[in-house]
Amino acid sequence: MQLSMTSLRRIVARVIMLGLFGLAISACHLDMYDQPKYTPLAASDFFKDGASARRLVDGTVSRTGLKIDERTTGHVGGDPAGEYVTTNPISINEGVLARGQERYKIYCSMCHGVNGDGKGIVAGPYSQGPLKLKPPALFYVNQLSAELQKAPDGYYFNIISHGKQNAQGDYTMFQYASRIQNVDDRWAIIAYIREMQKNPPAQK
Amino acid sequence: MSIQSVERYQMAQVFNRRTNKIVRLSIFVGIPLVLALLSTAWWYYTRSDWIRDVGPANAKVQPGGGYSHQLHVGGLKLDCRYCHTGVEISSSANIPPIETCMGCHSQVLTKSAKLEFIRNSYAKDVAVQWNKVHDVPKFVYFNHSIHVAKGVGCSTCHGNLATMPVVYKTQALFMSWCLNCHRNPEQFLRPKSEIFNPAWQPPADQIAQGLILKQQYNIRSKLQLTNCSICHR
Repeated sequence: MQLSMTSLRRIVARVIMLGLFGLAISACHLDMYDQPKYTPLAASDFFKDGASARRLVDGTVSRTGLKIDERTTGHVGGDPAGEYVTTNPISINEGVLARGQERYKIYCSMCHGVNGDGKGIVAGPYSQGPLKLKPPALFYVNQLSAELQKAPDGYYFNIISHGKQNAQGDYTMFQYASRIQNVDDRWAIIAYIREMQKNPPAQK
Repeated sequence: MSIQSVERYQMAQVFNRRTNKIVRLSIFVGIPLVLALLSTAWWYYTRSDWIRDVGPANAKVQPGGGYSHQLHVGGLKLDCRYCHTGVEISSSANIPPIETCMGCHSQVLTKSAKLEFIRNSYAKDVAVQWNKVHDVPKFVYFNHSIHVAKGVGCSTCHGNLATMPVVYKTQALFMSWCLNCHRNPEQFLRPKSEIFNPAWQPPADQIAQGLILKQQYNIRSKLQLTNCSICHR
């Protein structure tokens, strides 16, 4: 095909213009960048409370979270009205203790102390003040701790899972079930606490 | 033709021959120069800390003045996972529910005016709307748990939170920045025990250590980690 110089030039010009036009329109929209979908905890203008994350319906049970046995309830036979279990339902080995230590340091140490002396960095400074916070030491230091040491494993499990209320019904310790979601992690923490109680760290 | 008439004819020209040079110069040099300047300005503008919200000066305003990581992480040494419980098990590290704040603040600093909004939120059961700081485009499927499991520490991307009164971005989160690590992860890998240490500094022999860790963590090859669908699904 024979093209004259003029028509060739015209074609080149058109291609360049088309390219520039393409560049211009492609750079001007962000609808893939901000897609109309919810990412975790994103705000929503659809729901009345402004949150895209919906609450679970009361009584919802997760597929693996049915509370029917000692491992998930800490009660003998899985009966919430029954006795606390006295032995740790998971088998304890070095790995479990290491996991327990790690979880203890993350979730417990700020109040109960890194070595379980009840002098954690958050609660410690307040224990002498008007607030009189007394997170119990987890090994023998005072009357409370001595009682705690005798308490069965299931008791610890239920305090971790549901929190601890004082005589007025106020929570002195909130529940940790939402943060330590895996029940085996809770049992690992308990195993580690028992280990600390067996070999209490040196007192200052 | 008389001399006078020739002069009159020449005077009638507004532009003399030399202006042709200026016209040519402005077309072939001036226009490319302006385009180059504009594109350079655009390049720097779109990559500036200001437009990418990087640095303390560009920190987002948060409700109640924001949660001080400097105080809680730097001062009280709270572990990241105390609040960001999803970071090891989920794509999202999650912002804690207000109950996590109240776990301590129902007993500590209960009269503080600064914490009024926290108590209100808890009492009225209305979520506090924090402003998202690290917001990747929706076509990026970032997963916290895999990065944490494979030796990428928090501060590699988020900076040293223990020094931040208000959270700000220390990285602009460019794709080239993601790829820098996906191509050569050994530059940033740390041992398991240091993942959540906000003040971690790479050792002098980081590359050598990183290569060993890369083996230990069983990290995939450069080819696999730079596959488009690793991040874009």
